[in-house]
Amino acid sequence: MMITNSPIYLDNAATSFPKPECVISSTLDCIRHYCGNPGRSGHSLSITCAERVYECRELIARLLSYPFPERISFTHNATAALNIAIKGLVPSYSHCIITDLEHNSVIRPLIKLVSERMCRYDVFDSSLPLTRITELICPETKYIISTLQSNVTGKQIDIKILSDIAYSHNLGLIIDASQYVGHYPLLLEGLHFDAVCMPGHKALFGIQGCGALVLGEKRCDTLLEGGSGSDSFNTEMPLLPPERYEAGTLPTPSIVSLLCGVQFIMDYGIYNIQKRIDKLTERLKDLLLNIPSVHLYACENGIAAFKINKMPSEILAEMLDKYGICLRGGIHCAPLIHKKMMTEQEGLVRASLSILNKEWELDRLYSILKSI
Amino acid sequence: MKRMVLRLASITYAMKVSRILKRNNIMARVVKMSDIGVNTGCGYGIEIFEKDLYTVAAILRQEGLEYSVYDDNK
Repeated sequence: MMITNSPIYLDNAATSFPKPECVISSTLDCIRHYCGNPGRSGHSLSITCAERVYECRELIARLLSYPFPERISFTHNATAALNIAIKGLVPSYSHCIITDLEHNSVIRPLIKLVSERMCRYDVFDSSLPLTRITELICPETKYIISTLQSNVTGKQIDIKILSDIAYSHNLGLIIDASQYVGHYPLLLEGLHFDAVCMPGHKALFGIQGCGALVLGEKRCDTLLEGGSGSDSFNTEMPLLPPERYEAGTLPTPSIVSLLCGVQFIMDYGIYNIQKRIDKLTERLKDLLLNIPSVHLYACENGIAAFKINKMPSEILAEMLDKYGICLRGGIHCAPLIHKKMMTEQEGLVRASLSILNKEWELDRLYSILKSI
Repeated sequence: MKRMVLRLASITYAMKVSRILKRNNIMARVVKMSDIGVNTGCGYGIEIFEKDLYTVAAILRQEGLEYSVYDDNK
């Protein structure tokens, strides 16, 4: 079994690795020197942590061109943010529209609403022009819930078109930005939306344990109730964000890491990041297309999905792991797109990039795949 | 110089306000309400000089932020 000491990591759609050195050092600095509980006490450690938390809200707001940092609540991950948004905003007996690119973090909460709140939904075929999503709107439609980028194929959905459609049809809009944010510019000012959900640990380079729920004007019902650090005699959660959606202790080290990660990508420049990801994707596509045994299903926006002949994807992923190449095989928690591509039996292997990947890593993947 | 405390909805709004005030060259310090003897069941505010109260109130009104005033008699 060949195992290299420094793995070639091509699973950034699952979580980004490695993290920039500044993220690691700032997280350790927090844990070592000042990790109190933000928003609970008045001592210097608690206030320092609260300042870091607020700085993170402000920086994310700046990244997203969103003028309301106080509407950014921290969650444990994008899945938690999506659960709050979907379960807290979608009314009973209503109809929603999702796309066939959705992750189970959208599908499963929605299925819960179907069984418990008599909601129903339709799935939009993402291979059609996005404007045709209006054909699925009916009198009971209340929300469009959509990812901005598939975690399997890399295909993107235009948030501006969705926002305009939702606005003109008086619909709500819930966005899953998990694969998009941090790689491509996401500018929310002026857009009509109710919630944008994102993880901290993918392209934003934070460590695991933190996500963000960016809310529009509407108040969302709460999913979790508990301590909020203020107004303790009130037995209900605060009415205002962000604390309304932040019951209990925040994942402070994760938020500090996210603060540093967001600063890192802002220093790099989001348009430079976009160029880098597009350049790496182009190289990967060229390499994979040059291997006759590779069936390339999709390769765009930092994500490539492929298989080799009839080899089950998990077997191929395991084989590549022995060569020190980390990718993900299987269904990627995205059943609808696999059913559409008829790959639900053997799944696909997914390579997903970050700006920290190097060209030689893709060349190494190419040479290993060619030898299989 | 006499100081006053303005109670905000939460630590987040206290942080937001302190930053706005600092950008306007107004001294502001985030404080925990119980630490200054105000028993309102936990909460955070900003401590300012009394002389700045009207300017601060105008800024908070402009930002659409609610607050309540406590005089800590310093």
